[in-house]
Amino acid sequence: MDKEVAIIAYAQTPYEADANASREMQVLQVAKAALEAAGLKRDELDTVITANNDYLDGRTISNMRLVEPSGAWRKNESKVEMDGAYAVLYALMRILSGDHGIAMVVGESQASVYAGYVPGTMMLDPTFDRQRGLLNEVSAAALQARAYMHASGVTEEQIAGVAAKNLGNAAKNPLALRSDAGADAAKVLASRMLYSPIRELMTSALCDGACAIILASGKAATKAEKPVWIKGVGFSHDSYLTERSLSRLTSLKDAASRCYSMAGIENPASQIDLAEVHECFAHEELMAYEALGFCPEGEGGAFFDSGATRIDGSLPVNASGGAMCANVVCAAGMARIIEASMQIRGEAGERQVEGVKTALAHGQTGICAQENIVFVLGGE
Amino acid sequence: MEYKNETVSIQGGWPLEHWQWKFESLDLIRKTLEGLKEKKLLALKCRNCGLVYFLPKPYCRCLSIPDQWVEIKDTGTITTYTFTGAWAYEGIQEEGPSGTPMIIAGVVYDGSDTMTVCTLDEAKPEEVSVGMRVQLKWPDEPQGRLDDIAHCVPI
Repeated sequence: MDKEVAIIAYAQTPYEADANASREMQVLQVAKAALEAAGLKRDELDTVITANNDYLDGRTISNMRLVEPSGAWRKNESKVEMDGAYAVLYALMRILSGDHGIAMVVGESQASVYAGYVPGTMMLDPTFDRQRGLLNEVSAAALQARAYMHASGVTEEQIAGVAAKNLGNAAKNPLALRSDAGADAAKVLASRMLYSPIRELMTSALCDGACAIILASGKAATKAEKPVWIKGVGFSHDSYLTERSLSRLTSLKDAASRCYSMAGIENPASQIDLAEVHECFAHEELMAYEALGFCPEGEGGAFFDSGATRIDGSLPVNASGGAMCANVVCAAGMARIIEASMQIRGEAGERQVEGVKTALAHGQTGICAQENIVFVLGGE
Repeated sequence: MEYKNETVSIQGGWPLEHWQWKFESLDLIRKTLEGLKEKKLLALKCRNCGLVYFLPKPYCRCLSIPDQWVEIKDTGTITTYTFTGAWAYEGIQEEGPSGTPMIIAGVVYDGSDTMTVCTLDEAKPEEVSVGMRVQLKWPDEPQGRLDDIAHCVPI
């Protein structure tokens, strides 16, 4: 895609373990901030897409109370019940239809109101896996991690290293919930074992928060300062976890391939300057290196060891701290898109990477990263 | 207009455990459970793409309806595993119940294309590996329940 749709503004709440605000007020805060950043009024929005989840909200039609706070009152509003990166996709498609010029995208959830990984058990096969009681999001991720470690020869130290890298990067992200400038693999490996090889500091930081992104058509974006162009998008959805190989993120590989073909990326490791991946567990970042074609299949661990994905490396991954520092279900993929945009615009403050022209952002939904979406973004 | 102070209540609740979900897989699994009484593993094969589902599944990724029952073996291979953390590990004393950790294994039984999750008994965590051969640990008298296929042991 060449200058058809741009990201022109965005906003995030700070990520908190227990926000002192309702989801509605968090959404209102980011929607207003994004409009202000874009220099737009609510009346100028043509369409609004929200990303939220009935089950996590504990009520049905989870977008019904977000109509006013998202700026959607009596507008053409719709929602996705998946990661917010899919809401960005939906807004992108509405703009590409030619019927809409400016779209507001909002994603939110509040992990403080539900019991950690309990809702995730409703993703499990009801006839056996849910009855048997062995699987949950963490034990399933542990099965994924072990299958990947076997296939690619990755060690627990390398997985811990990813978590430490991201927690260290997060120390320069003022919105991060969890950060640790002095984190190293040994510290991560000393954290509490949940399900081998997954330890507490290898899990993402589930939390409260909201994100807003404003998209504009090429025509509408000409008035914007520093538009970030969507150059490509791809997505793919794999089978339930017992019916696919857990050792590879095959649907992420599909998604990346489709995205790269749209964005004209032939050699991702050299053409992409920075990536933000949605790692619900640290090992998934290593799996993503392979699936995104940053390194050959089977070499995720070696690629990490090379230092390429450190903030001062040739292809920094999760300069923001990734989901290790904050994982708002339904907004985490949007946070990746926002960080990639900030890096392209040179707005990332202390964690700014020099010379980011092309950046990749990834979102995922479902147990063991069942579905994946990839965006490639670029500046002027 | 006279104001009448009264509460209107809508009868009913939302107890998910009592919802009567419709699952074709329940009908399929009943047949598999019947087979367990004779120590047989009955899987469902898709005639279109050849994929064998254990446990049986009413629809296939190729958009066909699997309908060919096949018996698979009770031996298989561990494709992945994990073990629980509430125990001593490499010098770190965890809180929680003492004793050996529970090993959770993903097993693909010979003849099946899908994974079943069960516990691996009679093995220590350091003895488990991907590729390890295992056998279903049958109860002496299978009752035709999911519990009958809940454990496996190393061969």
